[in-house]
Amino acid sequence: MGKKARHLKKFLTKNELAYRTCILYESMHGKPAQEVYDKMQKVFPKRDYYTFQYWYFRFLNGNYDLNHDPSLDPKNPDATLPKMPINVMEKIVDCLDLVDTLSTGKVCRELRDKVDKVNKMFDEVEVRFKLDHVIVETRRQSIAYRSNQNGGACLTVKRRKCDKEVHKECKKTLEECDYLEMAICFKNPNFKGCYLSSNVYQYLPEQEYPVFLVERVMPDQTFYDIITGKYWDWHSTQDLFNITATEVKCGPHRMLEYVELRIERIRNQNS
Amino acid sequence: MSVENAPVVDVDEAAIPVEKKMYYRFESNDKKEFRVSELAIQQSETLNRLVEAMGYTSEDVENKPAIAIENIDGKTLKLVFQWCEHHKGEAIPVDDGSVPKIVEIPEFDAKLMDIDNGLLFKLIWAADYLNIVQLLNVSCKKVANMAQGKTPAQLRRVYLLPSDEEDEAAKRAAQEAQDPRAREVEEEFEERKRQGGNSFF
Repeated sequence: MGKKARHLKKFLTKNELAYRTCILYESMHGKPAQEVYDKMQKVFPKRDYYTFQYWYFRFLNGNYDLNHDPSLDPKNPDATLPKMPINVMEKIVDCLDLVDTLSTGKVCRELRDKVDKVNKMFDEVEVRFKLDHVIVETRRQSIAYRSNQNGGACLTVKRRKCDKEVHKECKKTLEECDYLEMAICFKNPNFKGCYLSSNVYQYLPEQEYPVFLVERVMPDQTFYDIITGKYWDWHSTQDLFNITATEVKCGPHRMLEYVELRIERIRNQNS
Repeated sequence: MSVENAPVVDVDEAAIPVEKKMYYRFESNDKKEFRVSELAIQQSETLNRLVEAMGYTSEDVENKPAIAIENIDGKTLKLVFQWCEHHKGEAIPVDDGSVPKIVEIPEFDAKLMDIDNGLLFKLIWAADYLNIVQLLNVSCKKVANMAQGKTPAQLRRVYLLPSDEEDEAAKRAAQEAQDPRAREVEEEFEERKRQGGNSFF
């Protein structure tokens, strides 16, 4: 062995990064692990099979970070729901219906953040406020809260393309229910916008529809700009809601039937 | 020659050499060893790629050390391999996200997952880590079923999670336990404020 080769061997045996790079190179060529290990033993004789296997296994599964610190690997995975990987959370939320998703989101902040990230149900939401009921419709299902005689609300859940309905009595009043669900819709980062329609506030001045319909679901720190029709999002000052109100009139006398609001999440032009 | 006219040959099945089934050896992080059939391993994309790349012969499997799975304990790995053996040879579902899936939990899986929540979440974590698509689907469905029709308070009990208030109180208590003087300083500061003093020192 020449002087240069000896020097290179000495360098390689002491250089952890070089060792990992060699394994990465070999794993990408799909050579059998044992063959690679035997071959590398000539240059890295002191390396044990377990260490080799660890890196070979990682690279083979597409984890190409050469600077990865093995001590950071989860030795005992934290077996709680909020600590689940995001793709797992996506699968779980995908199996939940709207009401159960909303309930799961209310369990704790940590879980809510995870659920919000993966919940795609609020892409298209339509909300209809009436005097005695509120209906929230998503792509997959609709939930309706109706006032009952006891002053509480009755919840009806119906999956789209399915005749089965689930009924449930709520302890909260109709207003508390719609407030809670709407607040959750608006806080969801995937919430892009919705239609709100109402015949409750039809006697208000036109410019105040958005205020009365949306204000109750917005926390104190947000504000509505009556001139521009934009609402600041409390989650991040970079986002705004744009609100457009349309009066829907029917009949020969063009009586005001209901007010429809289009709410869209838009990005702040200044960001 | 047409198919109808092809000569019929009696086959002595015992005379055909049967390919010997290969069983791989795996070791959990608590040093428990498992022997798993080649066909069962195919349910795990990660392990299947690994054994293919290793190119072991039947002798290698016996003579070389068991393949270490560092992040999964024996209890969880036992469930994983039981599931793989039961479902070996079954088609692996393709998840392209285009159609919302309807996941049914078979009876065997339901019995296998009749375990405590901690172990169930470990099983999910392992199914994800080892990329066992159908096991991940059914275990996630099981967790979703646990949430059905429950209030947030009931869910906290099911998933053993504290509410935001309880969580904050626990964090405060932990902080105080770590630095008891911080609480004393805070109380002293509040007392001085009440007395109208504007200087703490």
